[in-house]
Amino acid sequence: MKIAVCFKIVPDYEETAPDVWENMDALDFTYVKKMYGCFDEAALETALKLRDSLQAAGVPAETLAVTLGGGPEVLLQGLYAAGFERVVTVTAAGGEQQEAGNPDFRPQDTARILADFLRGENPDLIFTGKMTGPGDSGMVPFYLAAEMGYPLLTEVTKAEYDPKENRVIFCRQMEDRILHQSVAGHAVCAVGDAESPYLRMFSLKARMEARSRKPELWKSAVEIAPSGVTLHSEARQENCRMIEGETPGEKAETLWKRLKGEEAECRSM
Amino acid sequence: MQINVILAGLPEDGERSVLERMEALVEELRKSADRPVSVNCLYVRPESENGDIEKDGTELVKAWAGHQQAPLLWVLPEESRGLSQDVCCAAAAFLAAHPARIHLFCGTAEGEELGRRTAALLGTECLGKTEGFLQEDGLRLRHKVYSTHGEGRYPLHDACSSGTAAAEGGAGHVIIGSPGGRRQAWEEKTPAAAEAGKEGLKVKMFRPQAGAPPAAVTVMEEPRQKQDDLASARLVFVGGKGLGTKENYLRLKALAGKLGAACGCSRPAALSGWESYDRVVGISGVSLQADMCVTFGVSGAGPLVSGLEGAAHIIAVNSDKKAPIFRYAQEGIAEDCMKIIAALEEKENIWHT
Repeated sequence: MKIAVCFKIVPDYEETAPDVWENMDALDFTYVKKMYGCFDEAALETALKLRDSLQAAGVPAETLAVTLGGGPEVLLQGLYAAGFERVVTVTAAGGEQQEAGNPDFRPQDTARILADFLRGENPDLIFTGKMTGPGDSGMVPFYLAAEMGYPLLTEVTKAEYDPKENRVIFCRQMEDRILHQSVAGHAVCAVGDAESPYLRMFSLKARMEARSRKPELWKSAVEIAPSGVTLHSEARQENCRMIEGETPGEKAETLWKRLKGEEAECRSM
Repeated sequence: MQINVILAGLPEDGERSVLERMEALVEELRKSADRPVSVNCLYVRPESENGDIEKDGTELVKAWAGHQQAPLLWVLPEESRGLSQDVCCAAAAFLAAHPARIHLFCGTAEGEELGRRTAALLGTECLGKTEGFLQEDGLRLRHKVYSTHGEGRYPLHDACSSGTAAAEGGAGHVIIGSPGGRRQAWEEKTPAAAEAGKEGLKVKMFRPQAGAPPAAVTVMEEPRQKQDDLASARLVFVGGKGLGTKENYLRLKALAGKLGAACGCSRPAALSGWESYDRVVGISGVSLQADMCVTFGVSGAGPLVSGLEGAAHIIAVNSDKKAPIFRYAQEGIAEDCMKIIAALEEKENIWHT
């Protein structure tokens, strides 16, 4: 079984200084720590766990991690260290700099480019995180499934091989129920609040062995259209009135009165 | 300008709040558009038990559709709760048969998923949940970006005039209402609209065609135990990683229970195993509509703050007086959270050994 995972490397937006967001036309994340998108990281680990359960049952399985746009080498090589057999960076037509358009706000083009690559790989399963920044549209899994002609399972939290029935069981956490489902054939799985949200730790030995491995590069013929989006700052400067007091008890007393409705301060604000 | 409004997954005891959010969005669209707006309404709902879908449980939706001067109310019945591929295909067929510049889906869980699947089936643009509309070099959609640190304003091209939209199928834009968005009460404006809402508005069925068998086979289904409804609670406490330990979070939760408050958490707290994911407040979790929300040990990260915006009044408790949460709260306490919690426990006669 071939298992592909689509992931994205993003800046840790919570590590940015507030004034970064004041000029949305000149955002610079050069010196901001990079990380896997949080749901993408869950998808990476969910895929590895499924691979492990398949191999434990004697079913051959390989994993492939693919990203549009790349990222720091330490994170890409980290996937080799974590156990991925292949790591691929895909670029859009127009070169690595993607002069034509920014994929961040073009989920359809992102899905087209990923599908362009994945059709050649013909994976059995494709895992993605359910959403990631900066666009936060959550649409890439949906468009990717449509492009590939695969059914889409959303809100996947776990995937495990059942050797008795010779099938993969996907656990999906819906709003009011939990579904355990199997699929005959291919599928795209959008991972949400997974049971294993973090990529596994790997040994120093694995890290050293991965050091010499470079991600593969693959260039798509698909261009990214301009999105036409304009960006605006969301910075809010509420006049936060601090509740004062000599002791924590005094401050808590004021809060307690608010909670009991004994002070109308909040209603008048 | 023609728009389609699609209502799906309306909660039995929360129909009106969903309709009020749609009212606010449609009214904002009317104000932002440079031409009159006409509305078609499709209501996706479970099959009626007595078979009379025209009369059973559609009164409020009919009244709202009549208020929007929709020519009639289309109803798409679902055989069972939850989305099937047949319903998704039928919704896509409905939108294809009723061309519109915008297809606006309500922000319930089912509405959101139906909107996304329909957009993918049609190959048309969908940008996720919207915060609203505005007129800026044409009609634009407002959407939070960069984990809610910024706002993106996307052009909503007219399918008749835009090459880009035509290239993407020209099927109009699929837009999903934000579940925490602004609400606007609606009343029947004129006697004629009131009459249309009650009796005069026709209801027409749009039945899905039986299609291929579902791709996924359900091996087992288990109910998900729901705690009190965080999204509709009037008083909410939200605990973050600043509380330090799971035990401290559980103390906060017990205190909330004693004070009649619901208790939610940040995503990092849920990832640490302090709470189940359905209690996460934020962009990928619950959007609060509380009269008052008190946060404890919450730093103020963008994704969580997004879930607080519907709260009328926010009080933040954090030991770091420079924590970003104080930029979003109306009131704040710069103090060790556990000291505040301990003092509140004392007021409520909660003792720890």
